[in-house]
Amino acid sequence: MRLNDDYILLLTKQFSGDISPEETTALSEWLALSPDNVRLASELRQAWDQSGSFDKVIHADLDTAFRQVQAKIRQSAPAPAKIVPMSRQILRIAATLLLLISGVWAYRQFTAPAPSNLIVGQTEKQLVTLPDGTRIWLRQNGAIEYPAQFAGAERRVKLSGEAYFEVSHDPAHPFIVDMANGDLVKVLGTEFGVRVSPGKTRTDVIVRSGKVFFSPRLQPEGIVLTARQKATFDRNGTNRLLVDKSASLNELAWQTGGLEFKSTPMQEVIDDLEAHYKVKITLQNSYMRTCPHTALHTTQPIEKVLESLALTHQFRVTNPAPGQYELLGGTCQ
Amino acid sequence: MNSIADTAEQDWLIALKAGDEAALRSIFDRHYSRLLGDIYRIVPDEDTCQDLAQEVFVELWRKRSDLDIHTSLRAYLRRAAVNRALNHLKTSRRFVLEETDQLSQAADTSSADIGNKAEQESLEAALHAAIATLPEKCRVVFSLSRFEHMSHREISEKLGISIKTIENQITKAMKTLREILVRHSDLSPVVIWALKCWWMT
Repeated sequence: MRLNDDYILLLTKQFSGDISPEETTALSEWLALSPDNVRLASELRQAWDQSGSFDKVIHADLDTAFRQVQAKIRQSAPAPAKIVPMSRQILRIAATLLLLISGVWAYRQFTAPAPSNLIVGQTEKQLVTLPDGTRIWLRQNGAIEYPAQFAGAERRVKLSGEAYFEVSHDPAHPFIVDMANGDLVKVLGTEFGVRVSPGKTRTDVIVRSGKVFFSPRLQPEGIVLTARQKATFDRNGTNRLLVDKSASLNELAWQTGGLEFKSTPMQEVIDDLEAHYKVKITLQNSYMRTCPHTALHTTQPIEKVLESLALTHQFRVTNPAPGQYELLGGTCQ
Repeated sequence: MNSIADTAEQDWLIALKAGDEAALRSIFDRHYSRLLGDIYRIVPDEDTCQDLAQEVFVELWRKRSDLDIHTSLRAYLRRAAVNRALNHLKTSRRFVLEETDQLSQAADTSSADIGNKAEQESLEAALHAAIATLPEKCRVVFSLSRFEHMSHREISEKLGISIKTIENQITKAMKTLREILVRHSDLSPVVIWALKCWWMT
C-alpha cells in the first residue's frame, strides 16, 4: 500500500503522459477505493490544468532591448566586422533583374557632391541595405555609391561591377541605377541584376521579376523588360539592343543559388556549371552534347551536382586535377 | 502556425545567413517577448530574463552562417532560451542552495503571503505566483515537465540529478499547487461527481 504522496506522483505522471501501464492499473485501483481519492485526483487535475497558462508578461521596449543585442554583438565581434560569404539559397523573392557591371575601377570616376556612401564588395557576396530598404548584393569587386539619404523625386545609385538588386517598392520614387559606361537602368518593379563587360562595351540585363527600363547610352530610347527577359547591348557587336524573351535565369545563380535546367542541351548545362562554379568540365562523348537535361540544382557543391548528372545519364565522373572534371560515357534517355 | 508566417520566417533566415541585420530585428520583434515568458518560468527575475533572452539573439547572429533549423524558429529559439536559463542557474551556483527559498527573486508574493493573497487574486494568478516562488530546484523541475514537456528521464539527463529526486520535486510542486487550489476555492460537488465518472471510464 503506497502513501498518498506516491499517488500524487502517479497522477502527475498520468497528466504528463509519463505513466506506465502497471502504474495506471495501480492508480485505477486506488481511485476505486474511496471518494476521497477521487476528490484528491480532481484537485490535482485542476491544479495541473490551470497552472499551464503561466506565461509571465514582461513589458519590454523592443527598441531598447534590440539596441542591447546590437551592443553585445559589437562587443564580441572581431573588428572590423567580417562579412561571411553567403551560403546560396534560392530566394523566394519575386523576379530579379540582374545588373552586372563588371568593372575596371570605374567607381573612381564617381564624384558625389552630397554626402554619400561608397561600398566596395570585399568578399564573394556582400549585402548592402540602402536607406529605403532596397537590398543590393555586391559581387566581389562590385561597388555601389549611394546617398546617405534619398532626397528628391528619384532614388539614384551608381554601380560598378556586378550586383543583384532587390528594390523597395516605391512607385512615387523611381529607382535608377547609373552605370560606369553611361548605361542606365530604371526600376519599375522589384528585383534585377546587371552586368557590364570588362571593357565596358557590353551590358547585360536580366529580369527575374518585375519590370525594368534599360536605356543604353547609344540607344537611349531603350526597352522595357519583364520577368525572364534578357537584353544585351554590345557596342562591339551589333550595336543595338538584343532581347531574349525567355532567358535562362542561371546567370543569376550566384545570387539565387539555384540552377534550373528545362530540357537544356547538355553542352549548355556544362557551360552554365562551368560559369557558376568556376571549374572546367569536359564532356567526352560528343553525342551527349545535345541530350536534354531537366533538373533543379540548388546550393550544392559541384561534386554533388555532377553526381546527380552521372546518375541520371549514366556518366562516369573523373577529377583529373583540382577544378577539372570529365564526364565519360553517358546515355541519353 | 499559419503558413504566411512560415514563409516570412524562411525569408528572414535566408537573409540572416546573408548577414542582414534587418532580418535579425524582424526575428527579434516576433519572438523576444515570448522568450521572456519561457525563461521566467525557470529564472523568475525580469532583468535576468531580458539579459538571457538578448543573448539568445546574439548567439543566433553569431551562428548565422551555420544555422540549420529543422523545427520551427519558435521551437529552436525556445529550446535555446531554456538551455541558456538552465546554464545560468548552473553557473550562478544557486542550484546547490536549493532549500533556501528564493523569495528575493520572486516578482510576486512570497510563499508566506500566498495564503492571504489567494482570496484576492484569481485562482490562476495564485497558481502562477506559487510556481514563481517554489524553491529553485522544485520550480525548474516542475517547469521543465509542465511547460517544456520533458520526460522525467530527459530532465534527469539535462540537470544531472536522479529520477527519484525529480519525482520528489514534482510531488512537492503538485502538493503546493493543490494546497493553493484548496485554499482558494472549493470544488462543487457536481464537478466532483462529473470527474468521478470520468475517472471510471
